[in-house]
Amino acid sequence: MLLTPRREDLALVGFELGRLLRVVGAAQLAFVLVAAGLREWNALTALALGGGASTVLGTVAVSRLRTRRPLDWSHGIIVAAAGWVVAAAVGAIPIYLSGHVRGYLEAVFEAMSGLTGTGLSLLEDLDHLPLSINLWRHVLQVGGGFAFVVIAVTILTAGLGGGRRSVRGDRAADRVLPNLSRTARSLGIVAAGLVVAGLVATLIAVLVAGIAPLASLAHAVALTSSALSTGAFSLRSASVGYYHSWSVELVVMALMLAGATSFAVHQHLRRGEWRPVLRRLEVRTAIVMLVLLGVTTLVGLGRSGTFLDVVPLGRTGIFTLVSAATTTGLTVVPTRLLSTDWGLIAPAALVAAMAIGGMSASPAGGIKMLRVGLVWKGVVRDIRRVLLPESALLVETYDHERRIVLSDSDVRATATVLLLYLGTYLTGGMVILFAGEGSDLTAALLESTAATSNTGLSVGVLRPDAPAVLKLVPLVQMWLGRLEFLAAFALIGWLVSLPGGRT
Amino acid sequence: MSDRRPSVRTVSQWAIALLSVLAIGVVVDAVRAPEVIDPDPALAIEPAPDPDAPGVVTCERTLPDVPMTPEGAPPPVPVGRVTSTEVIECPDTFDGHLVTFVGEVIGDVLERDDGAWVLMNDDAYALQVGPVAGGSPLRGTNTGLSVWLQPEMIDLVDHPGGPRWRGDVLEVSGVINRVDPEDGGGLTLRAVEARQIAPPVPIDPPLNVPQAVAAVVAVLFAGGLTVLERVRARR
Repeated sequence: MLLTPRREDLALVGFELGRLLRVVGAAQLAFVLVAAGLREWNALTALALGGGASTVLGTVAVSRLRTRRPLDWSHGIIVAAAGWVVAAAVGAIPIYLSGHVRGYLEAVFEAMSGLTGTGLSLLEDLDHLPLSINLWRHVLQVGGGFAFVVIAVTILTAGLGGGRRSVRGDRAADRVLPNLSRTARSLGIVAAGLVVAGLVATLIAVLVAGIAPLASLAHAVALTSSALSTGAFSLRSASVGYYHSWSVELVVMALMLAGATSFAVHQHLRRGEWRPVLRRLEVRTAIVMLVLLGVTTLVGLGRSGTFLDVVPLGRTGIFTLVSAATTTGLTVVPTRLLSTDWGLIAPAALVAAMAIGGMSASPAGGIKMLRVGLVWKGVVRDIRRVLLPESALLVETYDHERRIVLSDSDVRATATVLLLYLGTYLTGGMVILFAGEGSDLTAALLESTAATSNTGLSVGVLRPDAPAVLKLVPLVQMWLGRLEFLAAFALIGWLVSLPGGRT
Repeated sequence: MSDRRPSVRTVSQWAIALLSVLAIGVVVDAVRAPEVIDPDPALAIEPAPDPDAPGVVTCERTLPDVPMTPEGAPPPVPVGRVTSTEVIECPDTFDGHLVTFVGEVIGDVLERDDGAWVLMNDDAYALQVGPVAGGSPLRGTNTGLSVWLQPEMIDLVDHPGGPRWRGDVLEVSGVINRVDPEDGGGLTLRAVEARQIAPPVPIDPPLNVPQAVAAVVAVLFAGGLTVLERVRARR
């Protein structure tokens, strides 16, 4: 039986959510300036209304629920889980008012897709969408990605399956806010460097591709924000294929890989420390998986009979694999071709790449390389245990910032999350298969995996005219996948305990 | 977290919060601009498709074998007009064939040394009802093809489509490349002929006054509340 939260706990969570609402409101109000500069007056009033409403709700919550009580780990988890829902609900207001979605469910879906770094879209007539609203979607991606990394490093025990192991492993680190500020500052330095480098590189690439100088800034912002936050939103319906440029593809690939790389690895690289990077279990797992899945994808594309020349096969195949493996979802070909023209092997490899995902403590989604590596090591260890004499003492270790002994609880917790991901991929796929009209098992599984692993690759099952259940299920999947399940379950348990728990 | 239930005061605070959220929802829904009943006739290039026609594209079109021709020369047998949906659903069916395609030029004309890439959409927003930005009804997502224009065709494009324009509508004849080696493997149409069939149309939606009023009220209210809250916090 769960314990009922006290009034003070509700007040603390409400206070923090109020602060979050004010941040989202302020961001929308700041974007009013972008709409004003573009002379998009209806978009300006939409952003102002969204910003005003969000700020009103947030300010009322902050003033009524003000508290000096520190945020501890358990409250932090609840705020993180509820925060994504609350931010999506208010971030959706300008999208709803743009008129490019059928209803509020579709607008919330779009906002949640941005905040979770997914990039699946129910927007209609994207190619005529006001630029300020389009860029607002991209800002949601960046905000959600940044917030997730900070929270993952300080609250969600980055990369591991669960348990209340704080970053420093001691009680002092259970005080969340000081950790959050320190981590946010550190992350900000890394992120700022990547953003500046990304903007410069993409700006040059799109100018070379033939985009006019004034428009190229918007394209550079959109490409950089999507690639670094591993989301699939783009300014045009043709995604990266719009540019027909190998230099744009190269820069975007580099940014996607940077986005899916762990914050800690970036810190090491910033300090020129290569050895700790190469020793890390998740880095080694990533290299092995990328090579295996890359070979499978290229062989599959070759066998499909679609690609007869090596260069187009390599260029299209590698870009799409990197996009899937980093759980970004940007494409160079219409995504429908993945199911109509690429055979079975290549799409299967892409689904596997999406399902596994990127590194921990990064905006990438999926099961995460670290978990895959841990489970693999656990399996190898158990096999060795069977083969060795009973009296033998077997110690398996792995590298993650330091050398750690692989414990049974680590493997068990990791396997639990891995099973949750796999179960959600399959369950979501079954729902999509039965509720979707004309979808087949491959398409349904691809769509479900894309939603749960926060990848934006859709083969067309998810459409604006689809039944509501086909929008609700992926929406929940995106939320669950972003939070890696445990925070979401903590929130659900908290809500269930509200009306009746142990007193 | 321990052992006391929320008080009546806390429950009423949550009720007020919920009512506030509902009120905001009602206002936002009320000010959203309605669809335009009579869109500009200049936006309708062709009539809407038959609503009773089957929506699922099947790849059963019977096409002649593509004859062997010198490299660069299009096959002599055109197979008629295609839609982007047909080509994307059945790329192998149309690969190498000379087709006709009608669509709105979108976004940018990406000029290169010997021509230009354009994105041409043939969805309802391009050919029937016009862009949503002008108040047109929602008709699904955009769909189109990447088209390579020869240098002499670039001048046919006066203004590509975007938030404030329904762009030039062109009719192009060209060869479908399922995997265009000069485009890194993309699905493209390389035009051999092109003509403009509709000029660009500016989209200038009127200001949504109820939305503007609601926005002003919301921002002023938010500003006032923020000032009050800061004053109260300092005390």
